Amino acid sequence: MDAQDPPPARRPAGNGALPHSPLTDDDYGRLRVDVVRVVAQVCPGWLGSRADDLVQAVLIRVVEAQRKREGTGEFSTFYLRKAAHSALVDEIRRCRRRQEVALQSDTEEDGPVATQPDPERLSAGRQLGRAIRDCLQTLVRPRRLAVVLNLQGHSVPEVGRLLRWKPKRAENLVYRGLADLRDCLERRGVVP
Amino acid sequence: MTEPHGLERLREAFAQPEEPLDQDRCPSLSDIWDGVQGRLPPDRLRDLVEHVATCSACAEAWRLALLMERPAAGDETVGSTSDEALAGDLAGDRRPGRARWRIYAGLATAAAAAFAVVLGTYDFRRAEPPAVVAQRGSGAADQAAATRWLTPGEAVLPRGDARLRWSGVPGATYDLAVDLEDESGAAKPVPIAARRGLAATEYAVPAPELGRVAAGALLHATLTAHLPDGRSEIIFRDFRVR
Repeated sequence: MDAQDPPPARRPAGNGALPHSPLTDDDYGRLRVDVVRVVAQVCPGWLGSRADDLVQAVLIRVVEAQRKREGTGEFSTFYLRKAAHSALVDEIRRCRRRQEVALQSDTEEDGPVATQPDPERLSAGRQLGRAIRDCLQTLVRPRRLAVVLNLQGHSVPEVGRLLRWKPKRAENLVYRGLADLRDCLERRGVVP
Repeated sequence: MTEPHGLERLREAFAQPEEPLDQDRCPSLSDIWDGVQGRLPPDRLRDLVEHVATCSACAEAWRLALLMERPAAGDETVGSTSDEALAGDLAGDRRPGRARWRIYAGLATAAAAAFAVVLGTYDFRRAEPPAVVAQRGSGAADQAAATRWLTPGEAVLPRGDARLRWSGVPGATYDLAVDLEDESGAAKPVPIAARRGLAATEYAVPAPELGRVAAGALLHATLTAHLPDGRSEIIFRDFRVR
């Protein structure tokens, strides 16, 4: 399949009792656009040259998943996106494992040296990441949950919605948790 | 979209891949997707977030799910990943409905962006925000801040003289709030004392106001310093009373 061309629209199940609307070309087109966008956002430098392959692999897997479920009437846009997420995570993990093997083998299979991560920067980032994870364990649980979601990119209102807290409570827990986290990092001599 | 610099750095570091833990303990990708969608029961979701706190692989899977659900940058209804959206949420409709929320968040983000970029803070507590607010921690990196705690962290103060001390610049005034924290997280913080416009650099929480505070309970002080040059700073301190 050409990644530029979304697959044909899914045929509705025989009894027409789909829980969701049948998928259309637009659904696939939007999915492709979203996968391309997400890959572009998350692709580390060393994976950049493989971004197109990654998108292609994800879309192929989604189509395969759709075929497996053909006739079940369950492949809605929700499942389409869920399948794309699963495929994307798997593909990125697979690429990362290959990259690690390549680095350990000291080969340049994955691209020129310039695209490899800077070891010092990588090491410093990992050290800080490890310290953050350690410090998170010292926070009281509600603050830890709030901070983890905030670090993951959720806004404070989203944190409240996900954890079913009132906005004010979410706000308090996020910024007090972040203050605790910074204090802990500073005590360890790690300053972000 | 601009985040406070420190938060951006923390997020970047938290996203660094680590050696995978025992992946048998990892939740399924399906659960992670459902978690991001808010489709898991609260207890299950909290356990999952606890796992994400320690597992970089699952944290990455979570971020990917979140990105899949976010409109592209530049979309007028973009769901803000930043805490700038906080202002919008506090002012806006909280009914469920992602599309509706996105519209509010988008509008609020536009209004809040300039404000939050300048402030670089989470302080939306006050009805009228100060001209400039800088959020500070309370550790060594605070040395450059105008306001610093003199009361050590996790201090245990006598109930009859629960005196919080800090240092600051001449002419500054201070707002102090003390809340009782529930360390188990079962209850929201309970306001214990709040004073505005303090000129002194210390405050003793009156013993009667500590009447409902059990010995050893965790208290959280939030001090907002209003500096003579119009800027403000916020610092925090946890303490306990005997």
